[in-house]
Amino acid sequence: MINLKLLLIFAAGLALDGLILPAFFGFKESFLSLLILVMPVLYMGSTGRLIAYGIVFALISESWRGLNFGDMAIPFLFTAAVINLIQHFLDIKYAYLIALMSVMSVYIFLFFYAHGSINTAYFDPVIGLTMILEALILVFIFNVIFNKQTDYVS
Amino acid sequence: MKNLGIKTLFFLFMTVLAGIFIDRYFFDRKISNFGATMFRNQASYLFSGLESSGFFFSGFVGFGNIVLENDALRKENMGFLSRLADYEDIKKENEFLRKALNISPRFNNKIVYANIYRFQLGPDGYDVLLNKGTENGIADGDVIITEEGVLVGRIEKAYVDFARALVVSDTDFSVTANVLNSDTAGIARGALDQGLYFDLIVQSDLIKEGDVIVSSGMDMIPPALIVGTVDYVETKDTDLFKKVKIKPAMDKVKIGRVLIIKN
Repeated sequence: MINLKLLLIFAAGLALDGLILPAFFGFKESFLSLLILVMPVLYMGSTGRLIAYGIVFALISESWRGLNFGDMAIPFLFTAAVINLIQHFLDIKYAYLIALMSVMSVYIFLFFYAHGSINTAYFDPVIGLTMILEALILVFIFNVIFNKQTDYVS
Repeated sequence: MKNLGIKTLFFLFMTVLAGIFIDRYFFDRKISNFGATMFRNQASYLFSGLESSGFFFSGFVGFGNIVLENDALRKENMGFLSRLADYEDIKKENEFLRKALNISPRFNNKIVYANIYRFQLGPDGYDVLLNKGTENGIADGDVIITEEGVLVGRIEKAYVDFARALVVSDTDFSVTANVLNSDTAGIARGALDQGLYFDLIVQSDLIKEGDVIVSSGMDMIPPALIVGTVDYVETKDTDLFKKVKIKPAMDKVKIGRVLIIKN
C-alpha cells in the first residue's frame, strides 16, 4: 500500500512540476518532484526498500525530463548515503525539521548532480523559499496520507 | 530505525551502473528517452490547453482595471499603427536593396513549428522539451522564437523525435543584445528566476527601466528578436558597469507553440 501511495504522490508531483504549474500558473520554479524523491527517505528512514523506490522514481523522472539513464539516480544514491549518515547522528522527528532537511538534501542532490559543484543561481531567496514552502506542504501531505503506526519503518 | 547498509547501497549503485551500460550499449539510449518520447504529443496538447486556460483566467484577475487598460492600449495602438506604416515603407525599401545587392533574406533558413510540452526548473537549469527532433530537421543550436518574435532560447540537444531546449533565463544562455532605438549594447545572460542580467553596460550608457531589449545579431542568434524589458537598473559611480536586470518577454506570452529557426 505504501508504494502505491508514494507512486501516486510522485506522479502528481511530476505532473504538477512540468505541466500544470508552468502551463496554467506560469510558475516554473517548482522543485516538487526532487523533494518527493528525497522526502520518503527522510520521513520514513533510509531503508533499502525506500531507496530502491527512490531510484525507480529518479529513473522515471530523468526519462520524463529527457535526461540520460542514471543522471538523477546516481546523485540520488549519493544523497541517500549522506542522509543515512546524518540519520546515524540525528533523530529527526519534527515536521518542520524534516522539511528543512529535505531542502538541504535537494541542495546536496544538486551538488552531486553537478559532479561536486553547485550553480550559485540556485541559492536564490525565491528558489529557497519556494522549496521550503513546497517541503512544508509535502510534509503535511505525508502526515495526512501515511499512517505512522503501519507505514513508518522502526 | 533500520538503516541502510554499505552492501545494499553498493548493490543499488552497481544496479544503476549496469542499467546505464545496458541503455547506452544495447538499447541506444531508448530506455532513458522512453518517457520523453512516449507522451510527447498528448503532453503538447495538454500544455497548450492549460496555457490558454491560464491566460484566460488570469484575464479575470485584472478585470477591474479593464477600462483603464483599454484606454491605454488604444493610445498605444495608435502609436503602433503609425510605426507600422513606417515599417512597411522600410520593409519594401529593404527588400528592394537586398535584391539589388544580392543579399539573402533575414530568415532564409527553414522554419519549423514545434510545441513545448515540459517546462520545469531542474538540477541542470530549466528542463524544456520540444516535440520535434532530428527527424523534423532540427539540430543543436537552432533558435526558438514565438510567433510574436520573442526569443525563447535555442536547441541544446536534438534527439530523433524530441529536443531539449536552453531558454533565455537559463544560466548557460547568453545573447548579444541592445536597447531598442539606442546604441546601448551588451550581453544578456540568464539568471534563472531573476530573469536575465544585462552585462557590459558602462555607467555612461543610457538605459532605464521599461526599455525594450532586442537581440543585436552579433552572434548566432538573428537580430531584432525581443529578449525582454529592463526591470531594474543600479548605478554606482564607483563601479565600471551598471547592474541591469531584464524581465524575459517570454514570461508574458504563450510559449506552448513556437517556431524554430534552423541555422
